[in-house]
Amino acid sequence: MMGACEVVEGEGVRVGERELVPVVRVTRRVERRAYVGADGVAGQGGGFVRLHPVAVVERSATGERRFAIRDRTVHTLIGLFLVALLVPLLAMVIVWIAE
Amino acid sequence: MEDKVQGLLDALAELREKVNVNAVFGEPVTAAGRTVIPVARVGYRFEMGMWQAAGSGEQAAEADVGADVEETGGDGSGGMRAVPLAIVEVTEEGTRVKPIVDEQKVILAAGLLASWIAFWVAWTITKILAGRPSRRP
Repeated sequence: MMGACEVVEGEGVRVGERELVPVVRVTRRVERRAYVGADGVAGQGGGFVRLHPVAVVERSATGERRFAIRDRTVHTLIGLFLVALLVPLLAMVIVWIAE
Repeated sequence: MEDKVQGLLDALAELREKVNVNAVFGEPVTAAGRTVIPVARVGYRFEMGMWQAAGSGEQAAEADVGADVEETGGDGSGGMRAVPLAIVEVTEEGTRVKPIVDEQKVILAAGLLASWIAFWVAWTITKILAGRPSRRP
């Protein structure tokens, strides 16, 4: 089993006088297995690669700027989940105060 | 059998060529003086298995083959998924990154949260009313 996670820069996309370079977090994993026996041989393998963009670097004559890329959907869902965790606590506090 | 295995290996090789860092950027689209580049989170997966079994002499005799029977087989699968995260907008004024929100997931989660809140509001009211002393003489 082999796995790795690293942040790399991709090839830039030129737009006018600017070059936009993606910064990507690459996660990959490969598994391989083999069997050799009197009844035969077998092998299997598999893996996955995940490419998650974390930022875009803009390079131009004026310099270099970095724009972070955030997954707003996940952040919103995490916020809703935290509210869901707080609601029962709040309810119990209200009942305790009322008693 | 060899043709099928080669086809499987060719498909995996093609998948491997597409697995590069630049896959997160889509094709830039330019219109009305502005260029838009879609940015996505990309994932690939692949599995492959092969086996070769040697049959017994008795099986070969029953099949009237006269030699050991060899069985071979193979299987494979793969997939790719791209989820849009943001768009990069380039204009004369500058560059901006606009996030993309999956509204379907957010609305579904908000609906579940509303049900959850309604349950706990009902529970709170029930507890408070149950704790009040009875007004009967």
